[in-house]
Amino acid sequence: MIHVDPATAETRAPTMGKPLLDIRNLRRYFPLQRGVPPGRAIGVKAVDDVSFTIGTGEVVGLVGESGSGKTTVGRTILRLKQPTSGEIFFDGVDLVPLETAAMRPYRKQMQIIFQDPYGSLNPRMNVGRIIGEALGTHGLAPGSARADRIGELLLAVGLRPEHMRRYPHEFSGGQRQRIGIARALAVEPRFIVGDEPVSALDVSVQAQIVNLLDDLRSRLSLTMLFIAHDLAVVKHISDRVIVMYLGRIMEIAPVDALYSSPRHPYTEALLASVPVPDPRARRNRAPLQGDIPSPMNPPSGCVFRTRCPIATDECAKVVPPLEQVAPGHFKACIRR
Amino acid sequence: MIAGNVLLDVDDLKVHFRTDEGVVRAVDGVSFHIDEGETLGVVGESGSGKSVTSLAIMRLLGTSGAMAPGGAIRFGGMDLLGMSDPEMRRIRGNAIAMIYQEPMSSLNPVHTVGRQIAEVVRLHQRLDRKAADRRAVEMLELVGIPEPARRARNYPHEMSGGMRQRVMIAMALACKPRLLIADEPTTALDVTIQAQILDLMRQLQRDIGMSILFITHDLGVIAEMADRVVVMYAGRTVEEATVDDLFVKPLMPYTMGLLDSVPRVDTAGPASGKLRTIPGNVPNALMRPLGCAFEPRCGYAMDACRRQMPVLEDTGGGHMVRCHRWGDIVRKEAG
Repeated sequence: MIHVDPATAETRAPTMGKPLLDIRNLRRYFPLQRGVPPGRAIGVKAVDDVSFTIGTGEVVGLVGESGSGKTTVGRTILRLKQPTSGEIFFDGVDLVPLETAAMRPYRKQMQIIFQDPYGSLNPRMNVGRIIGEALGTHGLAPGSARADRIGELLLAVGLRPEHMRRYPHEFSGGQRQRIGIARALAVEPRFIVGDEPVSALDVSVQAQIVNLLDDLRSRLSLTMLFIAHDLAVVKHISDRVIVMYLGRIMEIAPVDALYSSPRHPYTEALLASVPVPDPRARRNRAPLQGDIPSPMNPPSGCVFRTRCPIATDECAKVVPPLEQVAPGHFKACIRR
Repeated sequence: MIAGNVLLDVDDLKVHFRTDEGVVRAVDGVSFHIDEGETLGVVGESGSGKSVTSLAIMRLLGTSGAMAPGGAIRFGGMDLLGMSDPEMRRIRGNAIAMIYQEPMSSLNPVHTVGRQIAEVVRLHQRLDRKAADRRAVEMLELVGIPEPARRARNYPHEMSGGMRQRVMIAMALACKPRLLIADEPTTALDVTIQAQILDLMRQLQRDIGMSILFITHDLGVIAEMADRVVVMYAGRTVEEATVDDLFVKPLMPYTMGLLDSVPRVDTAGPASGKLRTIPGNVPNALMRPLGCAFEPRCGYAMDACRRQMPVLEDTGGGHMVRCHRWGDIVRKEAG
């Protein structure tokens, strides 16, 4: 077995170009006491020493259950939350020390699509204004060009230009998510964080949005971090997948390898827990017992050990490092 | 599956709501039955009427603008819709119990969970306080909560989501119901916890012998839990079959579309890399098509589908489908 520190090693799929994003030793702790600056807080370790890269044009899926820190990772990369420590290289520049003004050109290149398409659209603005605002903020498509650009964006996400005069409540959930996507695309970003972008949608509509994101990704050569709790959706859209548990990375692998030969016991259990739409494939017993521990008081050593079927005393003593088991395939487990 | 005695019989149920924009026909002539010991899955997307159906059975539609339900709901021979409120209160939470998606909002935050379970027991069974408290602890133990006596003194906010869902199940089962209505009971839970709760429900069903009406949008959960399945769309049943028939040879294009659009962890997925989808959206409840409600989204639609609502037909062996084209679809699949 080769020991590699993924902060410096090539953790991206070999086919991808140079990394657009390079996240090194990212930590985000939330203070338990009020008034303690995030830099020196001791509290919930929402994200604890997370390192990975995303290649240009690559879609990386980030999965985990409640308390895994997946949402915090996404928001911290976009600097919507300040990291406690670590580095976030975007196209070779570390974003962490940048002040508001220096950050602005990068904000234009990085966008987010939220889970709740209704809660994230201002109900008092029509669709034209919602998308126009994003353009205006970054001084794009001024004057008479703006309406044309908005119409173009609506067409790109499968809506019609005349929809720009309507308000969010006049649309279905799937259509609202299309508006959210159009708004994110308005500033021609290079990188998009999708934070559970399809989990609030009906099954039949969810597939439409997954396909749309997949289309846009290849058409606009977007780089994407796709955050979701639904392993099946992530499988469908990702080139590589990162599995998190209680603030730490358990496994990183190319998508096919992760689903066909997972190397971490948590990934195995997660996959075995998903109910399969086939009555002939019924499970007999839940693969994991017990609850996810509170992130306020995570287990020592390997954070998964309290629910792990193969844990030993040793697992309580050391935090397992991410080790490479195959090209681009990393796992943090001393028992495998 | 224990076949035979019908426990619940829903016959041509109609629930309509008066709104400012017009009458919403949330449930528009739904019929099904559940046998003793059976699990009936009801699957549908938003606006299908699946949750309103369960609220009508529990007589919990309240003053939300619902007009008096039409049709009949018979439970163990009794007519639930014709009952007085006090009679219904003796059944609700006792012979018929319900669990919901959100355990936090259905538990009282200011009482300990033990007290809440004991209260249900005392309401329906002549037990003194001590005996009811003991029963509460037994129930917490039954649903797999460690240290049940200590946990009984906890408030809901002191528990995790999975633990709260176990408490709600304990409360629902405290009076040994004959029918448990479970409306998206695991939708808000993480998958590893969902697997535990589904295990628990199956085990308790074997132990207590109750019937379950399991409502969900998740076809994976349906495949795992149900004996028979009713598929609802726009307020009506569009297909009903045993779980094996429904997943192996669905007949209604909507069911087929749903099964195709679910991404799966266990298979390679379509070679094109694209998920199959159902085009369009669920129809607006105020402006449903005249004919088949699925016609605007259906690849098999023909003229008759636009003009006339198909009836729910028995295609043999209790496999029911509401579709003008099912015969052609069967022939196409066979050929």
